[in-house]
Amino acid sequence: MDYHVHRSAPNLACICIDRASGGEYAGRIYHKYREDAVLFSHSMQLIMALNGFFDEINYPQASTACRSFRNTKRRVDDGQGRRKTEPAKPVRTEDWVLAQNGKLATFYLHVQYRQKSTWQGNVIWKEAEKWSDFESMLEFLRLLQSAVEEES
Amino acid sequence: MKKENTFIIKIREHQHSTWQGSLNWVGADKKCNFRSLLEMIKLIDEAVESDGRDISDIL
Repeated sequence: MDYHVHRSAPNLACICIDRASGGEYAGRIYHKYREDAVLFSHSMQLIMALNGFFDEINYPQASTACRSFRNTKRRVDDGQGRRKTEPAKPVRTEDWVLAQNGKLATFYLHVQYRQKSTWQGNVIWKEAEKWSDFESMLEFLRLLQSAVEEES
Repeated sequence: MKKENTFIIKIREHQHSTWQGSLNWVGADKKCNFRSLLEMIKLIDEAVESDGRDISDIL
């Protein structure tokens, strides 16, 4: 199926899966704002790292501030929805991000929106040349899981 | 498992391709509603990461 990589998206990420066992997987994340890979050893670490990256570049902007156990009065500013520091500058090109490969599988992730406290976007499975839209982070995880299961 | 890191999760709805419900942090006697799986994970992460620090300082 034809697919289109959103090369100009600031938050375009390449997810390289290197190992998988017992339903979990580990690998590397690449994006334009970091010279080297962000390593992850399980799926929740992948999600937290990606969400942290989106918060850092404030793209896509989250439409809701994440709830917290902290009292709202004493709530620490988590930086969501506003910039406290200078905007991040890319240090790598799209070509470099897209050229990375996982040992098991490679995915290009484009999160377009962060509405309803979750993610909406699309993911491309590079080796299989398949793509799919997703409406939530849960759907994205299911897509990744099914692809990794096919490969391992 | 330490009491501080025990949670009761209630999934009440399944809208927008994700989960909505409440998370009860048993050890700290705190409860918070969540609007998505992502929010639920972040709440658990917040609680677990506070481990070792004075909870009364955080809450």
